[in-house]
Amino acid sequence: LWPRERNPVDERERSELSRQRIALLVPKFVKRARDEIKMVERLVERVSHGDSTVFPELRQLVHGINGTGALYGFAQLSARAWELEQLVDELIARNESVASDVEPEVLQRLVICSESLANEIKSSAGDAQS
Amino acid sequence: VAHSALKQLLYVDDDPDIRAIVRIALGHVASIRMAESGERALQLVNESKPDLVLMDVMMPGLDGPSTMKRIREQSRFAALPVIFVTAKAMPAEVARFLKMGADGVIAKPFDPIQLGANVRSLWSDIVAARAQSGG
Repeated sequence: LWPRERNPVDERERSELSRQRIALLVPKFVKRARDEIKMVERLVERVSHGDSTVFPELRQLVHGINGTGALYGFAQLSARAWELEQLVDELIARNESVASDVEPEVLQRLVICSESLANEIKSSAGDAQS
Repeated sequence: VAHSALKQLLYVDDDPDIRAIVRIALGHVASIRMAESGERALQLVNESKPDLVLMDVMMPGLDGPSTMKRIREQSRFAALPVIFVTAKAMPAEVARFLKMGADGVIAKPFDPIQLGANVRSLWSDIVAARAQSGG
């Protein structure tokens, strides 16, 4: 299946090279996450004003931060995004027709989760720069 | 039909960061084309005629399962191997994807450094299974 015999030394060198190349992408991801959390916060704000049409867009954004953050090794950031994603999933599953139906405590959880994610992104940005 | 050598691979994901990581992770495994959507994948399958498609499940527009279905509706791609790359990789979900016709599932988040070995292993399984079934 694989015509060239794989040399363990070559494999190690290739892995190290891949790690280095992936590390070069991290600042770009952090910038993206900082931009996207602003969008997330704006969408959560709209939910608080009764707009439930934003749930799919909110879910897509948070799902992306969750998955990509995990790939880059930002476990805490990914965990915070996962929590928010689960909450949005719950709201979508409940098929809320108007966000005014969202109970105040659920809305509060939504705000807290998005703030936690924003804080984690700030922290990750600091880690990535140091 | 799966041939023995994996030469051309199509990776489908709406996330640009994941596409960039996969390009690095699988660059030594095969020649890779990237599609940012299921719709684009339908075009690229016809252009690049890949040996294998790796595909995200949750994408805006045409999602992974719908894209696989549309690809395989074309008779020449009816047996094209498809592996889903997804965060939805609990056993019940994996079973559901396999029942749909997927040839394998890779869980997200994956270790980029191990991705090449995972794909090679799944590809070997696919080739062996097709050989056994006469495909």
